[in-house]
Amino acid sequence: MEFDELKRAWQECDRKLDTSLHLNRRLLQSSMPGKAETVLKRLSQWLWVEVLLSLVVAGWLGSFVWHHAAQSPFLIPAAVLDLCAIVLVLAGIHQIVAISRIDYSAPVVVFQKRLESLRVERIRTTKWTLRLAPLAWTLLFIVAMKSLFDVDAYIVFGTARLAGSVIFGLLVVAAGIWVSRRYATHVGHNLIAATRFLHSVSEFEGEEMIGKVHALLSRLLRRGGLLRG
Amino acid sequence: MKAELTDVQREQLEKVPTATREDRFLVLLEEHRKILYKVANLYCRNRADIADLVQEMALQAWRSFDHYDHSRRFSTWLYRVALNVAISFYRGETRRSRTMVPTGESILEIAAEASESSDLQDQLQLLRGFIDQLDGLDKALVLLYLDENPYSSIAEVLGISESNVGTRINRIKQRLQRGWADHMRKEHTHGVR
Repeated sequence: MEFDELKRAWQECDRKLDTSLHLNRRLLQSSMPGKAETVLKRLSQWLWVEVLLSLVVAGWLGSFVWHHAAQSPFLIPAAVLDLCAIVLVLAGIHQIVAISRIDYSAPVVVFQKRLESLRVERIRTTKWTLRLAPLAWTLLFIVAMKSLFDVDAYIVFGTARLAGSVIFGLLVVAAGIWVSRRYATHVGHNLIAATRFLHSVSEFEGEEMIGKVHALLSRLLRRGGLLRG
Repeated sequence: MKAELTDVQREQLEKVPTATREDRFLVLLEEHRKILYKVANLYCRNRADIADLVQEMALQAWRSFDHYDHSRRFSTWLYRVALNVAISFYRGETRRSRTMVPTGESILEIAAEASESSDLQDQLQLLRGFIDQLDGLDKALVLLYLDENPYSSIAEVLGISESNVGTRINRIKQRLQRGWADHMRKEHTHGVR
């Protein structure tokens, strides 16, 4: 069976489609104007919510840092958290800009690479946010107690207990990293699938060189009379 | 009746002052509606998914219509949009709610089932089985090839070089031949038993 035999069957079917396929204009028109709410659009809206929330948190922490600039036990945890919130804001804005630049009419390889890179970035951001969250809880607790109730957590709970909590957080982070590496195929399934797909797109694109070498060889062989046609 | 518009008809439509952007889009989409149907059929099995995918493609094409350069072929542009939506859909990335498609209605409707000969059906089934084994990008390549697009257009749609298109198509053909030979061997073995 040759591929071109199947091609003829395909074309026969194609001809039949001409008469049997109709565009339901009424349905298309009713759903056209501005209603194309794709997942990308929804993701972008969700990212805006995330960015706004992170901005509020970053603003609140910034104000806290400003008011406690002379008290290092409060300044340091607040500054660390503020930095994390700013990173989240920047990462969110970066993703929103990347989504807005996605053009569905771009060449397939280009579009798929952009979309998948965006997916990988999103997964990585979420992964690291979740991984580092156990470390942030103690810092957030210190800052929130001071900011909301004017309570000094170092005095009420004791420095040793807070330090213990930070160490426990570190252990949880380390355990999280170990688990995700040990069981990478289960835990990071989405990331693996996304990177695999990215690799396959690059491979698809990367045949370029093989194709060029093949074309060059054919030309040379033709010139030497070793290949006909 | 052939639904495709001639170049003259299309030019006339472009000149009509009352023809809105929406009208132009609909005329072009009508003319190339088969592309949406064929791409959707290649990437989905389920009828509801096909209807969803066709709608997603049409809507995404409408949203991207501003990017369409009218001096270039609409079919190339539509293939790109349709394949990009389909590959993403196929990967589960842009699967969306089905609330926009009223039950029993689809943007593309088949008036009557084409009565195909059993030979043709067998060949189409074989082709379908083979295409199902390919990944998203190779499926796109096979579809463009089966639709008789020249290598230059295939390269333009996919964003790879013409020589790469040729290399990949040859490889896919060889794979089909190997698959067919295996299939025949198995059939023969069963027949002997």
